[in-house]
This record gives sequence, structure tokens and C-alpha cells, in this order.
Amino acid sequence: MTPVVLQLLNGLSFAALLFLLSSGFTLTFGLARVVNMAHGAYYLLGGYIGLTVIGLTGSFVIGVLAGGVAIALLNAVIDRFLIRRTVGQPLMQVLLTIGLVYVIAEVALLIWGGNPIRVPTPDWARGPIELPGGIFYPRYRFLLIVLGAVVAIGLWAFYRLTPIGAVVRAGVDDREMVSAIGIDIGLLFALVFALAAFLAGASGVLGGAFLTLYPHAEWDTLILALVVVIVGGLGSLEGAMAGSLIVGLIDAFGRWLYPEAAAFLMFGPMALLLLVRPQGLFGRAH
Amino acid sequence: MTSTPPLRLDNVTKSFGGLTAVSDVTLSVHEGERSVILGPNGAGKTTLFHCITGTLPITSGTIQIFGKNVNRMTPNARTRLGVGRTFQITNLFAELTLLQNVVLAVHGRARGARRLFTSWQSERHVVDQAHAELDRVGLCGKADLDVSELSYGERRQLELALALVGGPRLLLLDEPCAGLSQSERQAFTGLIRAIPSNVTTIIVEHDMDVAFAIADRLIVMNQGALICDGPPEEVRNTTEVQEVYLGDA
Amino acid sequence: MSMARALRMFGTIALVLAGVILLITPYAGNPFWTGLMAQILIFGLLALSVDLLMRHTGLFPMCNGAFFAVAAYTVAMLEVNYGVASPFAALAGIASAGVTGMVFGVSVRASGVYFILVTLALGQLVWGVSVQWTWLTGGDNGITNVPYPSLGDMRIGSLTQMYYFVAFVVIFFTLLYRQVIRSPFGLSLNGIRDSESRMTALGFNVTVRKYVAFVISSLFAGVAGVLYAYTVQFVSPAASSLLISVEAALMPILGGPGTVFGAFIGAVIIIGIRNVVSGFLSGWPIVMGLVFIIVVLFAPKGILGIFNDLLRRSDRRDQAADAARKDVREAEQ
Repeated sequence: MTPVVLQLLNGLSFAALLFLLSSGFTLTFGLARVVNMAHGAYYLLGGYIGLTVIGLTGSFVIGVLAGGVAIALLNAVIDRFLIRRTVGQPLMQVLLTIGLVYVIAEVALLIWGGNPIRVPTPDWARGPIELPGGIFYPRYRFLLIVLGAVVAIGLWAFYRLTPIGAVVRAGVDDREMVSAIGIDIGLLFALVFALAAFLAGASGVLGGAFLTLYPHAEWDTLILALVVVIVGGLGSLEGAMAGSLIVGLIDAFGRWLYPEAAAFLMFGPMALLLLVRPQGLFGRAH
Repeated sequence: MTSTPPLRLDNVTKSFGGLTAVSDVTLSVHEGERSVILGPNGAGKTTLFHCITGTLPITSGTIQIFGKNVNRMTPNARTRLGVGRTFQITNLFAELTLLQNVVLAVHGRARGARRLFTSWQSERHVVDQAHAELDRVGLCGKADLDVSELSYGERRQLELALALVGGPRLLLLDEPCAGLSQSERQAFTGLIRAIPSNVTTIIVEHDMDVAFAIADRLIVMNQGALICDGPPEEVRNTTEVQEVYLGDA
Repeated sequence: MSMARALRMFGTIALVLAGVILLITPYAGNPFWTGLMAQILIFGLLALSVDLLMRHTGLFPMCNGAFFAVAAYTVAMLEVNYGVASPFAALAGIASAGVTGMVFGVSVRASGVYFILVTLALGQLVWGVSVQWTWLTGGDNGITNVPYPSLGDMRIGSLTQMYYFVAFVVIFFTLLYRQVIRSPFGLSLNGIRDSESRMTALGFNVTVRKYVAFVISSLFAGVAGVLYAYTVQFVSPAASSLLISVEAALMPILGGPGTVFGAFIGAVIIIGIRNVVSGFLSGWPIVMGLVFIIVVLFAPKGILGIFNDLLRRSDRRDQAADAARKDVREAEQ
């Protein structure tokens, strides 16, 4: 029984990270139809910045915040001067943001080098934690599950219970309607973009503490985020939650049961789902 | 007159969530008849049109085309029963020439365009037929122009040409004169009247002058339901119609 | 001389020069350049396979590198591990790419952005296999020592011969590709690109046509993959990397979408950055990234598009000048 529970926890902690990473991707698409392929590069760069800040300040929390804030600022610049010029042209947007991935990842490689680096976990999150039933589990990964759950609930409340969330859910088909209920659309976009980028950057620091940061993570991470949103449905927060759980659990149990197939096991269910429900679990046909 | 009507609707209802756009419409059109579905904006006539073409699935009821229940048929399968349609907003192949537009229509009717290794120009019979169809709507001589070089009125003509290719037995026109000037309208209604009389035509229209100019039969919709149905003169005199439609026109 | 004439002359000279370079590269005596030219041809063909969907059908695939890799791995495995005769190995390579295309073809059910994301993720499936199934693919070490192709006693014995073989095959399939584009089927793909709803209203089954186009695209990518395995003589996970798909998509846009030459012009630049610029500039991926960004923001019609625009503008200027001159002459009389 214990190994099953351990794999379950592994799956949940990975799902928590995936959710932090992909919720921003899906929200920006839902709100502004922006597809930002640089999301994985944001993760990597945020992780490296957090790593450096932790080295300077000695504080893990400040590192996480710094990684998030730095990426939010970077994204504001990128959005203002580059992405905004490709609105309504998904193909061009994808190519543009892929170009950004090349640039960001190479800059990171030049600064931080090519060896995998682990973000140091803080003292208070080190060692094992004893769970009911005499199960010992790494404290850091357990805390990650808690954090993922807290953020998920917070985002969900924002998404379901606030007027801003209603606008995001509506997918902003009608800008006049939005202005009519008294929301400044420009500010709303800026807020959601900043939130999404912050989550990507911060999750780089959080993920770097157990997955390490390494060249090519910009692509690996992007693919994971894509699988999550394809399974869950692009633009849906609930979809990101469900997709993260499915991908996280398949990954954990796959590594345990079929290690030789772990890297692509999650693509199977994705392809099957496409056959029966091309728009994903919670996606709307569009 | 044959016993199976080209189009028959029984208790057709279409709702979007809580909103009923088309409610319990029962209707049968006869062969060769030119019917106009008239109604103010939001009357549900365009929704009804989409239900007939198959772009929207209906909520309940049945639609029969030439006696076949088409409820579960895709739009392209309905086309193959002999249905032609136009679009309200001009919907052409914008980056192709007029000839290429019509060639595609010819292929679509004939279930063609399956060849991979011959050039499309080399199929003379297809190209010749396409030229003939362009002549029919008065666009001969413009075959090699791109769609982007056409005036708006010419685009509406091409729109009609695409629907007429292959001689559909049932023709559905969605506000064919929308956006045309007064003189263009007159020319265009001429084109519609010139459609062979064995083609059953159903036209969705909100412009009364156009409707009276071309209709054998007027079907008036309001708030999703049919409120009046008959020859134009009769309908014109119905008080109900005058209230909901003619009154505010 | 007028601008238009200068441009036309420049175009002709460039075309002739390209032909000459294509013919004489092996005689420059440097195997590096011969290999590079062969790769440009191979990736140009791969870029065409992408453009069939991208420019002609309106779909943006991110998995053609996967078809390319499946074909390359199949050839390498059959030749190296089982000693299968080259014609059969090559056919099996193309067929395996086609079968992969038939499976991945489920993605045509998705549209727009969704199609891009789905094909990208499906392509990663092949990458996962190439890295993880070491028993099959050799893992990170890949499969080495792929021989040049042979037919009975006839065998290709040098890079020079291989180069001409590649050039012949690529030109053959490029002509075939052009024929497909100009066929009734190709025209129907253009129709789908311009208006799916109209195609449906005309009686076409749009999904089936997209699917067939997708499979044809995978076959062309497979041909490129087979040539790659034989030319480079080594297949590793680098062949299945997402970057191959991404760069193959940029090539036609960079050169001029919808044109056959554009795909090869794009290949010259992208393969050049990857193999030449990387030799003297350690941060070369930044150059690659900037090319992506610059093309999107400033040259979405590609190099040929810019050239054609220039040509059209100077033609119009010439016509205006002629008309003005005529007016002057008439006024004088």
C-alpha cells in the first residue's frame, strides 16, 4: 500500500507544479486569445533568477517572489512591444514566441551555464514529514501540494466569484459589454498577463528545487503545459486543474510501473481524448 | 406536382440554452415554388435557415429534404441531395480567381477534385462548365480576376453563381441582396427571377420590397414562430403582419 | 536601366547562380560544403511538406519533424541492424512516416491554435521514443554507420555521388509536389484554406480532405527523412527534436510562403545559421531567435514576397512614368 500512496503523493506534487505553470497559459488564452510558447522559457528564466536571488539573500521565499516578479516585468515589455503586434494571427504569434524561446534560453545558458542546477530548498522545508499511517514523505514536495491547492482554490474563487473572473470566463467576445459593467479592459489584460507570467516564473523556482534547472527545460516544460491544457481544454481553469492532475498522476505511476515509457505515456490518453472530444475535457468548441 | 415536397419541417424547434430562437415551426414547400421567409431582425429566420442547411443542429422536430429525414445529416451530405445555398455575409474563396471559385463548386457537386497528379486546368469539361456558370450570372470576362478585385455587387453575383452550380433542385438564399444599392438590388432580383422555374427556392429576407418583388409565397416569422403564410397580396393585408412587421417598417 | 529591369535581371542571375552552385558544389573540393548543400536540399523538401498544410491548406503543423525522424530511424535500423536492401529500406522509411501521419491525423479534428498545440505534443511522442527506447533507437547514442544506399551491385560510393543522388530525388519530389499543388485536389485544399464553411456547402467533406493532405505531407517529410539518414549516415534524437519541426515551419515563411523556391531559400538561411554561424558565434541561437522575430514582425511574406512587392511597385512606377512621358509628348505636338 505504501508505494501506491507515495506515487500518489509524487503525482499530486507534480500536478501542483503543473497547475501553477499551466494556469497562466490557459488564462491568457481564455482572456486575450494569446498563445505564448515562451511560457516554458519563462519558467526556466524565472527559476534561474530565483536561484541567484536566493544565493544573494539566503531567502527561498524572496527567491520565488523575485523569479515571479522579474518574469512579470519581462512579459509586460514583451507583450507591449512584440506579442501585441500579432493579435489575431495565431500562426505568427506562435512563431514569434518560439523565437523568444531561442533568445531567452540562450541568454540563460550564457549566464548560468549548461549543467543542471538544483535550487536549494530552505531549512524549514528539508527532510521528511511523517504522514498518518507511518508514511514518510519529503517535506518540500508535501508543502508544494499544499501550495498548489491553496493557489488553485484562490484562482478558482477569483475565476468563479468575482466580476473580473466572469469576464475572463466569457472569453471577452464583447468588449463593449465589458466596459459597460465598469471594468477597464486594458488594466484587466495587464493584470491577468502579469499574474500568468508571475506564476510561470515563480513555478520555475519551485520546480527547480526538485526537478533541477537545465538547458532544454524551456521546451520540456512547455510540452507539459501544452499537454495539460490540451487534455483540460484551452482557456478553462477547471480544465487546467483536471489536466494537471491527470498528467501528474500518469507521470508518477508511469515512472513507477512502466519506466521505459514514462516520457510519452501521457500522450496516449491525450490522443484518445482528441478522438472523442477534440476540444478537451472542459473546453468549448470554437 | 409530385407527392414528396422538396422541403418539409415538422415542429422544428431550436433553442440556445434558455433562449428559443425557432419555436415549433411546421412548414412544407412545393416543387418550383419561390418562397420568401420574411421577418424583422431577431425573428429567428436566419437560425431557421441554418437549421435547414445543417450548420446548426435542431433541438426537436424533423426536417425532411426530398422526403429524406436529414436531422442527422452533415451540411455537405445535404448539399449532395441537391441543395444549394448562399451566405448572408459574402463567403468566397478570397485568394482564388473567379474561375477557380466556380471550378471548386463544380467539383463539389460532382464529388470530384480527387485527382492528385493532373493540373486542374487540364480538365476541360470542368473548366468549360465553370465558364458557362459565370456567364449565367453575368460575370463572363472576369474569370481570371481575383475575388479581391471584384466590387461588392459582383461578389454577390459570384455568391449566387456558386450556389447555382450543378443545378440544385432546392436553393436556399440567405438575404441575397444585403448591402446592395437600390439599382444593384433591381438587377439582382432580375437574376433571381431568372432562376429556372423547376428549382424550388427559399429566400430569407428582411427587405420588404425585395420580398414582394420575387415571392410566390410569403412566410412571415416573428419571435421564432410562423405568424402568417400565403400569397404576397394576401399576406400584405393581414392585420397581424401589419402590426409586427409592416407597421414598424 | 529601370528599377524593374534591374530587379528582373537580379532574379535571373540569382536563379542561374543557384543552379550553377547546385551543380558544381561537390567540385569545390570541401566535403563540408557538399554535405551542407545536401542538407539544404533535404530540409527544403521537409519545408515544402510543411507548406502544403500551412500555406495551401491553412493548417499549421508542428509534427513534420516527427515524420522525418520516424523515416530516418526506420531506414537506419533496417540498414544497420537487419541489412535490408536499400530500396526496401527506403520504401519502408517513407511508409512508416505515412503510417505515423495516418495516426497523428486525428489532429485534423482540432482547428486553429488547438491544431498547432496538438501536433506539437504528438511530435514529442516520437522524441520520447527516440530518447527512451534505447533497445530500439540506441537512445542518445543513436544509430551510427548507416551505409550509402545501394541497388544490387550498384552502390553509391562517395559523398559526391550521394550529393547528386539527393539532388535528383529532391528535384523529382519537388516537381511532384508542384503537380499536387496544381491538381484539382490541391485547388480544393486552397478552398479549405479560404473558407471551410463554403467548401462544406459545396458538398466537400472538409475533414477527410484535411486528413488526406496531412498524410501526403507526412509522406513528403518521410522522403526527406530517408535522404537525411543516408546522407548524414547517423540518426540520433536530434533528428526528432521539436526544433526540426519549428525551423521547417519557419523556412517557407522566411523564403516566401506558397512558392517552391521560397522553401529552399528559407532552408539556406536556417541551415546556414545552424551549421555555419554556429561555427564562429557561440550565441548563435540568439541569431536564430531574432530571425524568427524579425520575419514575423517585418517580413511575413518572406524574401520572395518582398522581392515581388518591389517588382510590382517599380513596374507601376515605370508605367506611370511612361504614361507621363506620353502625355508630355502629346502636349508638345
